[in-house]
Amino acid sequence: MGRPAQKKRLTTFSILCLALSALLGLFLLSRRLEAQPKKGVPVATTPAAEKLPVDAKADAVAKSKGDAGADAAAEPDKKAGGDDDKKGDDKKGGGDDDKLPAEDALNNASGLSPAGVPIHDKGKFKSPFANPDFGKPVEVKVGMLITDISQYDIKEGTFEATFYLSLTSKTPMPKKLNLVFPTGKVEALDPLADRPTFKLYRVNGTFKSPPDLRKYPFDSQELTIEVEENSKGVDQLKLYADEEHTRFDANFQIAGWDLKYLEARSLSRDLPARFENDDLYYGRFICRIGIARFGTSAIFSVFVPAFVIVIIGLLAMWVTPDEMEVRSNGGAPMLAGAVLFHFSLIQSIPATAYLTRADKLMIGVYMSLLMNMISTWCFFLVDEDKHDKVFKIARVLVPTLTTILMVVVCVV
Amino acid sequence: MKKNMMVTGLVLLAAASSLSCGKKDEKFESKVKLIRTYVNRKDEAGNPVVTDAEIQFTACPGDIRKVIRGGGTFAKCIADKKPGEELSINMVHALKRGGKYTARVVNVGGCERAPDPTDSRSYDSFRICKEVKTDGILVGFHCEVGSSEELVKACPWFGQ
Repeated sequence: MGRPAQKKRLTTFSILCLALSALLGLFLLSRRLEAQPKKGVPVATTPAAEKLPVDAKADAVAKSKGDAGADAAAEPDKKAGGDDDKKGDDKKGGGDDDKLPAEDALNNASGLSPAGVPIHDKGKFKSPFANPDFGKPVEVKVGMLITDISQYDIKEGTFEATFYLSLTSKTPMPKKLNLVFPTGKVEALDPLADRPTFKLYRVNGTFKSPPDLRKYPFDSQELTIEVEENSKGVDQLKLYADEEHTRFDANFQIAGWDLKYLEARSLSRDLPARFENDDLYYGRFICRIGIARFGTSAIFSVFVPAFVIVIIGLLAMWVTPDEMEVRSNGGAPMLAGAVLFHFSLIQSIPATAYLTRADKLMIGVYMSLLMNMISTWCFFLVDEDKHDKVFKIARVLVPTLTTILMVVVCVV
Repeated sequence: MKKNMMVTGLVLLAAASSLSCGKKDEKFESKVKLIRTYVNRKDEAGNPVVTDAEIQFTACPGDIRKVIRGGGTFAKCIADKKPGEELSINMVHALKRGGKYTARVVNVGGCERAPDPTDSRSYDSFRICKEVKTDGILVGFHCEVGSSEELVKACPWFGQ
């Protein structure tokens, strides 16, 4: 076969590989662009900021971000009862005949607002769900024994959890508690004990925690379970994390992940105004489980294949110009392979609005292969008598630049 | 002949590399506090046959505990110890089910224990906790529950 025919075949082959890589690359890019926040879409404001006066908005934003608001939960004795410390056990809790969890509070409302909403004119809160006659709020310790976490789907950010939830207090809790799980969908809430000062539930449900993939594949995730009592405000009930009784079951494990930490905290928060004078704060218990991906697994599943692609690509640098077919075969197919590998990587995680560590690594791989291909194309552009010079320069320059590049993408 | 030598060489090389990859069972000694014992089974004469013991590692940071189950002479010997007593402990660092390493207890306070590989009751509990404060106010707690660097530095038998 003559030289021009071989050259033509090589060029066609390279163009085909490049076209395939470009198509797949465009697909990857479109997925990334889809993940970018769209212009003009209003950013959600914090509930507290919407409702509070202007001077209190900054404080409210800080509270919603940092779980502050816990001031109410953390200082029970100082704020308990406030000015209206009327005690009367007959008024604690709703009557047994009441149908709604907060019916007692609604019945005790002293009047109606102009908009027709029941209102309390005494006590700290005007909300119809406040209970100024309740007396000192009950301090409830919340414990959680986590027995199982499974089906963690990082793409959806969902996981299934089974745990025991205990509520203990020294004084009787209000009747008709209405526990809700804001970040999850509970499939089973089985009460095992229901006494005024002690309640125990076995809970099973699916919960949601958005993943943080900036460090993927060396990422750590935080799985969150939140419990809120949303019919009794902090004027009746304050939740505290029970350190002694919040833990994992024996030999607890999450398949594929290394267990790192367990964090629990309580906070009090308000809701965006659902009606006039909706100013009551509610207690919330938050449990966070820290997990990390196994480093060895991450290295072997992501870094090793990427480096193998780069090394095989670099081997072409030692192929002399008279073996152009072999040399070019070391570049274009590797680029296609890299794009396919990148595609398989992003299939296992959700679209992100930022680059993950794996993305940065793949950029390094693409750049390395591009340099490799440019060095091969140079032989078609320069005169034949300069091929030896190009060969020698490329053999030193491309591996050196690739090494620097790969070190940079691995460190940054 | 040459081929046989090459094969023998490769086999030896593979054997040597597999030996170097395996971790030798290291032995450790420390002090623990006995938290509680529970006689799980007794024989007809009322002697303990299987006993659980919960021990706390006083030399480790945080609240590091082990619940160990033992039978035979260990069951009777450990049941005689008083909660709160400080005991010496001997352990062997060995691979357990699930591919993780554990400190297998072979002796506590002079009570010899033969670890049973099929035992699924014994477990470790790691908790190195600190308070969580927001705006200077105590709102909860944060516990490291894995085999952290801090723990392994003080108690290397918990290394993975």
